[in-house]
Amino acid sequence: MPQLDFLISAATPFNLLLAVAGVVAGTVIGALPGLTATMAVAVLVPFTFGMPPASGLIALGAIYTGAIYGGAYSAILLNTPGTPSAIATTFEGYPMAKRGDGDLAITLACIASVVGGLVGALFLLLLAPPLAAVALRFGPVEYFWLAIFGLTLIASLSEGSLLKGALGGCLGVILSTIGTAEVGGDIRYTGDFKSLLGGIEVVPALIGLYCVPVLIDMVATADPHLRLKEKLAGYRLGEALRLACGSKWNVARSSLIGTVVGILPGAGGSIASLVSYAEARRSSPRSANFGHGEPDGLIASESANNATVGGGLIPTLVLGIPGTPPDAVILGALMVQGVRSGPALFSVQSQIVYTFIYGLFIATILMLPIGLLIGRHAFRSLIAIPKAILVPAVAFLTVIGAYAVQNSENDVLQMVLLGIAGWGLSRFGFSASPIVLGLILGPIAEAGFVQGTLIGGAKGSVLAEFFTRPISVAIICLIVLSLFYPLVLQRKRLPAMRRQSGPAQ
Amino acid sequence: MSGRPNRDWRGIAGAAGFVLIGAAVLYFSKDFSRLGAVFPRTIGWAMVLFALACILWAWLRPGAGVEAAKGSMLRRAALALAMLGWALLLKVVGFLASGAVAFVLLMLVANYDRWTPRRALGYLSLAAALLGGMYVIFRFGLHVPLPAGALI
Repeated sequence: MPQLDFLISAATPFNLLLAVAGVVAGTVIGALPGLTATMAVAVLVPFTFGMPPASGLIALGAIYTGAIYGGAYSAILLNTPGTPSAIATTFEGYPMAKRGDGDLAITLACIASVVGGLVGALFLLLLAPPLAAVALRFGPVEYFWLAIFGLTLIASLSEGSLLKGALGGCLGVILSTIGTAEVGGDIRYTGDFKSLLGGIEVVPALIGLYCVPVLIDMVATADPHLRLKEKLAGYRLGEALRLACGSKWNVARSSLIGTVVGILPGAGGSIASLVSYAEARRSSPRSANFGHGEPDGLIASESANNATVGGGLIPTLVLGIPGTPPDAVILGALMVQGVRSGPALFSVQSQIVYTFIYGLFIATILMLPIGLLIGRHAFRSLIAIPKAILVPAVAFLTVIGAYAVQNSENDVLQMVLLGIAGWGLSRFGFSASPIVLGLILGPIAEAGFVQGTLIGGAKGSVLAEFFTRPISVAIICLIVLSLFYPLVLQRKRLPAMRRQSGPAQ
Repeated sequence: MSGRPNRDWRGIAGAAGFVLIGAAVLYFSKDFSRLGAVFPRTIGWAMVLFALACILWAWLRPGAGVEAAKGSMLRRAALALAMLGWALLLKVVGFLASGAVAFVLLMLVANYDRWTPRRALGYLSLAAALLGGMYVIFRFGLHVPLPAGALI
């Protein structure tokens, strides 16, 4: 029973201690706006060099999974995603906290993260080699269509007007083209500012677009930042479990999306959570509640982003291609440890890799008690803090978080300016989410589009390159389905709605 | 009683701004190479078209736009200016000095309670602990080279 041996080696007291410490450290770092999961893993990776390879990897896996979950705290309590993976968590988590359900939102995020993390780890354990082979078949054109698929989410993220959402998305894409072009090397839209040569960094931009407008509105009135429905009732674990069980298909679908997107090199948790959120919204019978604190949206986002942990490790371990940025750091740690990633890893060094995978399972399960405990204290503390302390403290975190991404003062300035612009745009009815989506997906879409055009041109037909590859066709079908399915659904529901409104009139 | 139809004037103004941004995107893309220009040009055209459609939609389908912002605009402006000043002075005067000044300014902007010596002392102590604690964590724990500037 070698698998049982691997499980036992993963559950030694030392490894358990590392898993607990890793989850706690990751959760705390992930909760600070600007400090991403990549940074959490990168900062703590030197501590693992002196450990046995499997133990070191368990610590890194625990930090990674904790950091992805930790991003939900600030997303729910401050409307600022602690990590980019938690962008979609803000859409429902913050409205839930505003109406007094912050404790429920945190518990729900914890449960969804644990389930998503376990699904991702299960795929890593059972299906790593065949799934990695599929991921390798993604070329520039497939990435282009994947980005376009992501951009169709604007329909879900537009509050009120699809056209305004589309304009916000265009603005985000244009912002992503500022700086030196990845293909061709053109210097674009920098206005001779050297500080813009490197472009607009996503993390400071999203801190600014999401957090600064909240701060601006927070100081405008004396009302408390967050409310409580009643006096603190505890973790609200039973209620959260009931909601999660009632949304089991949503959890399963989102975890699957998270795993698959995690496998695709470069896609990552932010795209996974956005895609899952949009799918949850499209298929939910309560889609009208989305944007106003609907638990299904929160569940989708959190289960998907934590599923990318296991998903991203699949190409990392099987092919040596990091699925997500933190996986690149883990890949480096593997090399330092003398572990060579590749298909042979699962046979030649099976002791290390399977002990690590079981360790990841254990760390993910440990996230439930740890996450609930930290989350409850975070919520209680935030409610008790007066605005006069909360506003400068959050502003301080945004500044230091934006600075720490590249150790650059320019990023701080960009963050503040984008934040002020974001607040201004919101006064004209343009929300931040489509802009952020455009900013994230713009570079992927452009690189795929330009490279696909070049490859198609060399082969003799650009159209054939974009429209005949099997995976591309599948994604195009998904795009069409995602754009038109809500309309079909609305048409189907119309007679029933008319019948309902008839007697009332 | 017929008056002026209730239109989303803010939305129309915002969309007009996007027409200008789109035009600027198209204008400045003329100096790029073919490869570098194709994508921003496509998005620029899309932006202009969406913006014009948005204006047309708001004109043809009257409806209320975004509600006016509630609360003090003065405090909002003060916060934005304080943060902007903080970002600009970060490199010049250093992380701790600019952080301390901005923290106190933002505290003044966000406070709605009556200032008492006890409250002021409590808040300032908390501010010092937060600033100092985060400085130690980032500077020595996470090895982030925080800007030193002319002061600290």
